[in-house]
Amino acid sequence: MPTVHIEEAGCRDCSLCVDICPTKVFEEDAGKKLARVARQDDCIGCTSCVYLCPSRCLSVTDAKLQRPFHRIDTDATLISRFLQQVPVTEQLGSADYAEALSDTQVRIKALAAALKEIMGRGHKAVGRSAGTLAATHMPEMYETAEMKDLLAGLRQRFANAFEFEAKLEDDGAVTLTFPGCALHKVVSSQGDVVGSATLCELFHEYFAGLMSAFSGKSYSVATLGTVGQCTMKFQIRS
Amino acid sequence: MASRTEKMQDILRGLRSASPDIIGAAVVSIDGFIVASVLPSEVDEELVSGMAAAMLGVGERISSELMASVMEQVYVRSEKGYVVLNAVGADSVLVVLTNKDAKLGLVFIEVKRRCAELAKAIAAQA
Repeated sequence: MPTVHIEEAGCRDCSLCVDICPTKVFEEDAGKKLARVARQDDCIGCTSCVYLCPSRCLSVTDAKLQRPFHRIDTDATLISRFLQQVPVTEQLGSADYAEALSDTQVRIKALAAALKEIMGRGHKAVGRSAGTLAATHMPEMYETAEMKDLLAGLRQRFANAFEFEAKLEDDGAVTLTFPGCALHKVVSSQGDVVGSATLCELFHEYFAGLMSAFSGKSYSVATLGTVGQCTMKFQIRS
Repeated sequence: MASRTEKMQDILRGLRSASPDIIGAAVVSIDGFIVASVLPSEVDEELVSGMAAAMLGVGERISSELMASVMEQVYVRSEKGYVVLNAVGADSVLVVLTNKDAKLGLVFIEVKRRCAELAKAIAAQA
């Protein structure tokens, strides 16, 4: 656990540490005109106080060094705005959402890369399992096993995320075309090949897991095309 | 003429009957599908297939990264028994469940023999 220490001889009672501490470790001792450590156990070792103290009389020991997020003003400002800690007059703008989207894209790409790095070829099975698990959170989809109705339900469920067109074959296979899949931007912005990137593979298997869970049949997926829009064929495995 | 699945099912039955300590077995593809199975009914086959494929993937990564080599086998020892996974061909894995009294040496010999038969069955109708 981090230990905070104030060298009293150097403290000038500026209260910067009291104001900046995210967990309110410090209090002002009005009598001594000094800052004091009031809640040692709440210290998270961010070392914001150490960086800000103009007298350099603060030390934090036994702390794992954190990224100095407090020193990156734009990050701190954005976080406080998303947490709605600022006045209502300061609304989030399109630039804020663009920045948050960019950050999210980097993170999900990193997650996909980590899955592939650790799981190797097993990452597809993980994607399928994710779809199977996600299916349990959509109980309304189990009301019918008819593929036409299932696809209509999935289209409605994911209306805010993506859209797709479906073609049903006589042998039970389903071809889905996704115009403008949101992952296109994520994948191509990171320099990967749309359709064969790890993130794409995970999503394809996830969707196969969903369809298999709802229909009671075992679907495998193959990518048919990715130029402009992604087309995938889901076939029933015998 | 027996289908590929039936042939593999026969091989798995032979494996299971080779020792009373072998509880069940399955062949799983790398993308997490059960190809053939003689698992106890209380076992969730979908769960087994997903985990086996994941174990194969992780085993391959570990072998490659730490040993600069090709994975041959992974086994997990639990309080109640063992789960043995052997690569079969390039894209499948044999999963064998045993109780805790199993003589692993004999199990491994039997597994090796059956893997060779399974690989032939997979290749024959590929």
